[in-house]
Amino acid sequence: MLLRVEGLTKRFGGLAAVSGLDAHVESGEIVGLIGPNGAGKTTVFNLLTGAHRPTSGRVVFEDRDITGWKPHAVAALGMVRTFQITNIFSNFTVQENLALACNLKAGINYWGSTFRTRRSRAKERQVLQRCDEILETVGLQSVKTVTAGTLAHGHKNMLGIAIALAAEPRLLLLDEPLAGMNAHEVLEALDVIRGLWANGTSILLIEHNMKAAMALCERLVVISFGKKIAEGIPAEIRANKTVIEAYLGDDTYVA
Amino acid sequence: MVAILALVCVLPLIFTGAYARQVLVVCGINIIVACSVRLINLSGQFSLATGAMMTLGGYLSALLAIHYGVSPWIGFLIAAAAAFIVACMFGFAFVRLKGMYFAMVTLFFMQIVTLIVLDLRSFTGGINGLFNIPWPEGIKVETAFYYVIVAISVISLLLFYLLEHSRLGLVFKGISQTETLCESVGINVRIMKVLAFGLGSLFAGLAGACYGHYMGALNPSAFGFTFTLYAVIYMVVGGRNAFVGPILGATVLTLANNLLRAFASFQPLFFAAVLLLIVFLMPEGLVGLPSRGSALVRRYRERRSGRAAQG
Repeated sequence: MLLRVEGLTKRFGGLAAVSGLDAHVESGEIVGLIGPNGAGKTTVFNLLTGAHRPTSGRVVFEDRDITGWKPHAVAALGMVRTFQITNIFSNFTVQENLALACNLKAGINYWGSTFRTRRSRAKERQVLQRCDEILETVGLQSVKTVTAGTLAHGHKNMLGIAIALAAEPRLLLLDEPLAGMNAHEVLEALDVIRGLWANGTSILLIEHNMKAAMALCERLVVISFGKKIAEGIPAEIRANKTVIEAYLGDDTYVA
Repeated sequence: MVAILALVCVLPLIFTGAYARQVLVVCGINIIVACSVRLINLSGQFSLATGAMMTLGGYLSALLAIHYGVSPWIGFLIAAAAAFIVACMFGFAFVRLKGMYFAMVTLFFMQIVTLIVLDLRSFTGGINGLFNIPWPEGIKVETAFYYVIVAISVISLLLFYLLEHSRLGLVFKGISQTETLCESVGINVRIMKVLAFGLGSLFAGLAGACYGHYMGALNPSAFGFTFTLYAVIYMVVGGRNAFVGPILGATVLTLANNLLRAFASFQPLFFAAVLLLIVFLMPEGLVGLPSRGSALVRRYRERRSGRAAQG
């Protein structure tokens, strides 16, 4: 089992943003975390990656208890997230964005890099090659030298995913990767995400677009007010009464 | 590059006065200090401990030479290393404070350093400062020392350049844009910020030691709050987004400052005016002057040709 969460709870003062959540992700799986607005989905991501410390409960990644680890340590272990609000290095070019994200896995020695040793230059060439591969995968090759801050919104979202990929995750956490994209961009992004999964990256994703989440994921975990209310394959979730009620009793969401 | 270096080497032959050399030495030291401020600023941090690090480095090297007969050559290295280590220890404790709060704590650090120097009167000379700080062995004439300072400045600038264009520079610049994203790809932001602060302080310590030995005298207020602010002003006036920014700013302002020394009481006013003009008219600093100038000329030409076409 790649990721296991046991009794995960987070209280902000009197409010339980997440309470007693049990969930897991198998290696090679693509799992969706869905729920109405304010259900605590992003808080779950923050707890998994160490941005928040859980009030109680455990996070176990590859049989290692990583509860309360710092974000950079969690990322180094192989669980890398993206952000709901676009988070990129705006002043860097697209290529520099990825080059920086490759930092850890490239194994570049800081002093070697400062004094331009032959080894560090060779490593640096490998990094650029790796960046090219990733840009190819997410379809950003054409904007490689563009300053990231000036990209179109859809491209920025994809760059966010590309940055996470550059850190070579074994489990990729995507926080609403399709938010704010137009219909055409959504189709492209779905292709990219499916491609990543097909290449062996395990994925846990938060998504508001129910149609997309149903189409993408093998399994869905539904939370509402911080509690898990359902779990199962998309067909089961679609027919689940509790889930439909949670979405304000409005079944048009689950079209 | 080579031309500038050649000019710096030839200058003492043209301006033979000791005062001119002294101005150039101060200029070189100010360049190092301004670059040090920028190196720390690359990682998004703003420190007001620059002067304190110079006091630390200057006094340490001078005291070692005076009381223990340690060679100033080694003193330079010890000053740089000590500033680095102290800054790292300080950084570990306080680097989690952001922006203004970190700046405030660095300001307190400066007060503490000054108080220590003032208090250990018998050792540091207290408020009167230190005199007869020896020159490094083998340096007999002042001109020779001038070239030593030139060499140290050039080597420092080379190191600044290499650092900025290395992985470290990339990480520092990334941290200044978004810390959360850096963490999410596995960068230990805290350590990197400490390192940026430490490396910047290292050069400030070195600059302080150079100044002390060259002038032969030091006092606790030499690198106080005003000096630290000037170092920041050099960077801002020159242009904080370009490598040559602080070099340009420190050079122009140090020379202007000396040309205007007849009006010494107006100096702060002069600095304030220059800073305001730059901030409002050219946020990118003196570095942006050529492109801004050419844009103005182009606009003027376009308007003229437009008028000609109409007429």
